[in-house]
Amino acid sequence: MPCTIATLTVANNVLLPLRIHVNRKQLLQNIANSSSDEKDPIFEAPLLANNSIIQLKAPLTRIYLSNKDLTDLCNEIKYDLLFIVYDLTSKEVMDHDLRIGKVISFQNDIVEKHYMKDGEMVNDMIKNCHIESIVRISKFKLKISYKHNWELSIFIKSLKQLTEIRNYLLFKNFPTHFDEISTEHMVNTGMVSVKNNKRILLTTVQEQAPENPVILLEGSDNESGFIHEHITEDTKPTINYKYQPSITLPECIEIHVLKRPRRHRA
Amino acid sequence: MQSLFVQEDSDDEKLQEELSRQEENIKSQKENINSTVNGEVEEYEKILDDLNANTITSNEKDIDDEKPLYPLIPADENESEQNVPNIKDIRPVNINLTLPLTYQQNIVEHVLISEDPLVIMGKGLCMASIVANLLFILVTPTKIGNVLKRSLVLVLNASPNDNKHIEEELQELYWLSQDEDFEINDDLKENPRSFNVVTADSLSVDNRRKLYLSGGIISVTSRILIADLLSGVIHPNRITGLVVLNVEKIRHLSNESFIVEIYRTKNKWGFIKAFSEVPESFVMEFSPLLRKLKDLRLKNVLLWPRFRFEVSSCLNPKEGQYNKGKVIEIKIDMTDSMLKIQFGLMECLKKCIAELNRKNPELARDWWSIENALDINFQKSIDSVMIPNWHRISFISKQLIKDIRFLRYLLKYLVSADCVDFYEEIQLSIEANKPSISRKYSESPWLMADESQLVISHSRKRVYEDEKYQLEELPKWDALLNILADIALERSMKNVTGPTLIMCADGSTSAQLSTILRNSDRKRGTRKMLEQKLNKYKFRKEERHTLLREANEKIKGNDQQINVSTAFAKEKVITKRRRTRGAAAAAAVDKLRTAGSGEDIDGIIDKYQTINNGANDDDPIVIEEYKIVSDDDMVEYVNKDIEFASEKTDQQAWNVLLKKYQFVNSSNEVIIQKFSDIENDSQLQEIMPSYIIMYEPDLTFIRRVEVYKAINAELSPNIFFMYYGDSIEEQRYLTQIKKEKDAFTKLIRENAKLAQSFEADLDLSHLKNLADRKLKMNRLINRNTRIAGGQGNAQVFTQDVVVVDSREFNASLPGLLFRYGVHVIPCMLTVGDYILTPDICVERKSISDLIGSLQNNRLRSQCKKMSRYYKFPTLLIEFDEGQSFSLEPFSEKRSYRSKEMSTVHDISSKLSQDEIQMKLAKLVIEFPGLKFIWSSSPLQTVNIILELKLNREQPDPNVAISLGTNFKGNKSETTNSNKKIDTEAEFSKLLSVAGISKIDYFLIRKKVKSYRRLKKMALQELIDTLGDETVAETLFEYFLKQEITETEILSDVDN
Repeated sequence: MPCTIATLTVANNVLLPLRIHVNRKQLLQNIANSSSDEKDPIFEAPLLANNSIIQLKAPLTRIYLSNKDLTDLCNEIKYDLLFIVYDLTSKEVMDHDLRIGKVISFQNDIVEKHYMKDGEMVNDMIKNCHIESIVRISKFKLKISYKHNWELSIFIKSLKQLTEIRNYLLFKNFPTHFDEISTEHMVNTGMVSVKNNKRILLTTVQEQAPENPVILLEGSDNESGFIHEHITEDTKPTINYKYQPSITLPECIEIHVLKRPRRHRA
Repeated sequence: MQSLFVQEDSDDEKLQEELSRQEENIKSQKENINSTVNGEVEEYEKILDDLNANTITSNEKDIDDEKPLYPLIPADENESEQNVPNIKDIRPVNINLTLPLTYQQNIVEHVLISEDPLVIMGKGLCMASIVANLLFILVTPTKIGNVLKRSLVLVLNASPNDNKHIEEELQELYWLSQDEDFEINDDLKENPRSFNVVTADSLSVDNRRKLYLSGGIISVTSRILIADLLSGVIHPNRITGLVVLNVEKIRHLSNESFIVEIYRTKNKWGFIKAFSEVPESFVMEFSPLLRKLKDLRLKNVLLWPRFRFEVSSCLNPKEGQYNKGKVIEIKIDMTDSMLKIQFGLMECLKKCIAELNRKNPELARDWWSIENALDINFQKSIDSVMIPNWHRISFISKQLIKDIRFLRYLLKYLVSADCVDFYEEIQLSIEANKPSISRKYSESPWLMADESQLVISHSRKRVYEDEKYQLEELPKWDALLNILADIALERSMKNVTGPTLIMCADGSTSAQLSTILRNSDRKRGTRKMLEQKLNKYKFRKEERHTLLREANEKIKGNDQQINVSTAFAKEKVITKRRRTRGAAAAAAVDKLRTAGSGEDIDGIIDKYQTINNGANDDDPIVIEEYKIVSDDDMVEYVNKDIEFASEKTDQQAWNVLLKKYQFVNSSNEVIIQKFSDIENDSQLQEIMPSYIIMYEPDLTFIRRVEVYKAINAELSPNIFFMYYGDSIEEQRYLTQIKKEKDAFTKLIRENAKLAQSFEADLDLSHLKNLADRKLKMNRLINRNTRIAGGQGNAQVFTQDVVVVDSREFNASLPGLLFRYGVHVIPCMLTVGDYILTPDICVERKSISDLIGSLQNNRLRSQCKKMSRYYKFPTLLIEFDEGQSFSLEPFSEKRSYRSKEMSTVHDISSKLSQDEIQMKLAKLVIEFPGLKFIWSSSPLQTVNIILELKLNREQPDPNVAISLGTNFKGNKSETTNSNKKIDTEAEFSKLLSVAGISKIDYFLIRKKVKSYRRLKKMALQELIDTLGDETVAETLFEYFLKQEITETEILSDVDN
């Protein structure tokens, strides 16, 4: 059961894809009355050199997030994602002694150390982050636990790639902040990694207001009983579609959904 | 109308019958096993007992046999404590599959119950997911007592993409598993079905040992696994089973077959399962299926073509569902010019092939004809015959082969590139064929054919005609835009969630399409794009011309200086003679340039600027270029360390950033991808497109779409399938289908004829026989113990040992040595590749290696090291089995293999061949002690090595490793060689003496072995030995001077 890919715009014409998996095991656990549907096995066979009898079962139906759910999720983790993309690989945060297996608490270790000055928040936005902890699981991989309405594990597949993405985005958004050397560095190295073979073009619809046809009716003037709406009703607006190519960043952030918020009745 | 979007069914009922009959056979085997499931535990118990008994007896036997020998594979120390599963512990294991289609489940079932199968599937039938599911099942732990014993399943020959996909699929399976045995724990280390990838750089030996012991599924590079098996990091008996992927890529005598062989000699109970998606590769040679089976020790063949009933019933649309997710085929006609170009190219190709066959009647094959020219393997077939004979075929034949390659490329390029690009390609080729001083005969034969005129004139016509710029657009572009408009209309009326996916063959096409779409909303957008491209082309041409002019001027300048040299004068004479001959060719090229109309085309295009000047004032059109990032760049990037350079962002920045943050609705996306990007079946499901436009036909992708449609029957996408009617594109696609089908038909027939083979459990394998025989031979020779009291026997009784550098395991030689009963010890060697005896050290070079390391001087330093530590440094130059045993083809191979169509004349190839020989000779002069072994194949090398090792001492791996790493530490051992280095150094000083040439030096070295003796010789003595008065005098003077300076230094010290 493959994942779903959600795409976000993070700068003009720059798209960031997120791979979203549904962790079925956790999800079912978190639903109290999980009725794990018992199916009859479709096939049985003993494994040789083993004392197990394998009972194969047909797969359960695929679970994936609806478009609404995806929008919902992406809006909720907005600030957290900004933190991950822009601040996680900054000098200060990465200064932590992040050995493999060591857990860092987001509130205690990061917010209080880097975002508080004299007991005051430097960056108010960070309050909206709901990251709980960060663990390094291998040399270039991080696992971030998130808990709010949704419960997620966010995996960074490659810190190296994330750094390049960050550099690229910073450069793209605030080109003036960079001196010449780092710009050159960016152009030389960054572009290689910030590359995805997928080309995505975004469709934008340009609706052109139809020109009201002025139809002159014989023997009539404005005061006559004809109403314009009657005539214009049938004309259609001309619709133009524009396809805007954009840069797709590599898929480096992976999200595992552990819990989905209860559906609110609208 | 014939439908291209196939729903394949085999019309041949017999085939289906044969397939099901073969299936029955395997099923009857399975029934034997299956009966145990129905409560007949005893029988199962018996099987298990048998199994255990077998392993135990075989182990005992092994130990008996091996006592006097070095074991070929290090024995497992913990063998005795091997736990045997108790039949009372038998338990059911529930596994939820992730395969939604019944045929996929069928495949899993069949693979599971058949013994050591080779599974060959049609392309695009989701092999990766099936393999992942199987792995998950196969790695099920055994329960012994109350303890779970983990299994270890190794995956061989997996590509990085396979690994990635398997990893994701396994994670999903893990989430689905409802095993109560394992605590639900996110920590992957606790997962008995964990997946790990071992590649060269990731893990140390110790970590690898731990990883193997912890079990699970491990995808490992064969080169590493073989070294681990030979050095005892992992014992074959501890491996539950092997899964070999991409079998079609495994060559004869490869590492994989070597691994399987080692595995099977020690492990009779584990499984081997092999997979392939390319049936065509199993029908190329003589009974290749049988050979592959033997190579990998496989016993059954499972064939799953697309036309198999189980598959087709799953994928073909069911009745009543025809209207859901319809397929719309769009046949587009090529323009008149394109058709004519295509016709011309085909005719040229035909002529080239006919000429090639005529020129080489003894090599040509019937299969080489225009009917098969579109086949993907056509070039390969020619290469496989011609490369071993490269030194025997004429220059014209080489040119013809090159032209066939180029024409096939042009045929493809015609439908994918726009008119300007295609024109540029043709123009470049004509340009390259202009006769010049360095190339006299380099006329491409296809340009001589009359039809080439047609190609050239029409490719010009597409750009320019009747004093107007035609700039013909590709017909597919318009069709694509229309389709997109249709889709947009449908979207506006219905609520469609998925994105639109456009699939094309390569990166340049995807860039091209992206540009087209971007400019689609402007008036005459594509036309403007082409105009701009034309301008760029002209600019490039201009640049080339100036470059050429500058280069020519430089050459002119040098001309006068070099004129003195006699060698150059000789060259000049040749030029004169040739020039008269080349006149006809020059005229022909002139004719080509003005093809059709008689005007110089390029000249007219140059005028273009003036016409266009006024029109170009709109905002510029961005043309996306397709850039290939070379592997070198990537490597450089990967090796770089991370710099966490800049500081964190502030609140202000966040405000800006927040505004730009937005979720993109997937229905607004138009995604353009290459076929090769969607490598595994799940990627389509990730994207979940509602509309799929296939810009070009592709067999594998069509299958993927079929599978996707079958899975998502409810939300089935609409598919648009575009192709040029009556084009080679269509033809190529049809041959592709036909070939796969034919391959499967052949395979089914071959499989039916295969003799069923059984092997006795304790098979006296040939390698043991060999070792045994050798032992007996040695005993015979050394029967007479009276000589030296039989002291030598202890040595002779040991088995042959060769220390091999662990980096050498990419070659087939170590595997072959193993098969011939030689104990191969993998070590990290600093000096040499193979250590045969304490004295003989061998550096193996394949030809391409040789040329490379001659070029960068690595070979020199390697030889230097070898001669420092070993008495007999040896350079082994090994050819491949399929190569011709001659240097000639390789000296030009680089240019032949490369994509560039540069034409190298045979004279220049001879030159570089001379170069290789010259460099080798230089090496010999520099290292007089260096021995050379020329070997035509790895098999011959084995013979040579065995001969060399006869009655010689065995090397000590510990010594071999230490050599070259810290030579100061064991000085006492190497004093002998140190002394040698001293003399070497003294001698080499002579080279710097003025008046002594290298030849003189060589003579001196030959005549006088000791430097000290040379130094003490009187002048007359020197003259007598060397036979050259002047050299002797200079040498004598040199020694005299040296003595004086030495005494001076000494007296200085004394003072």
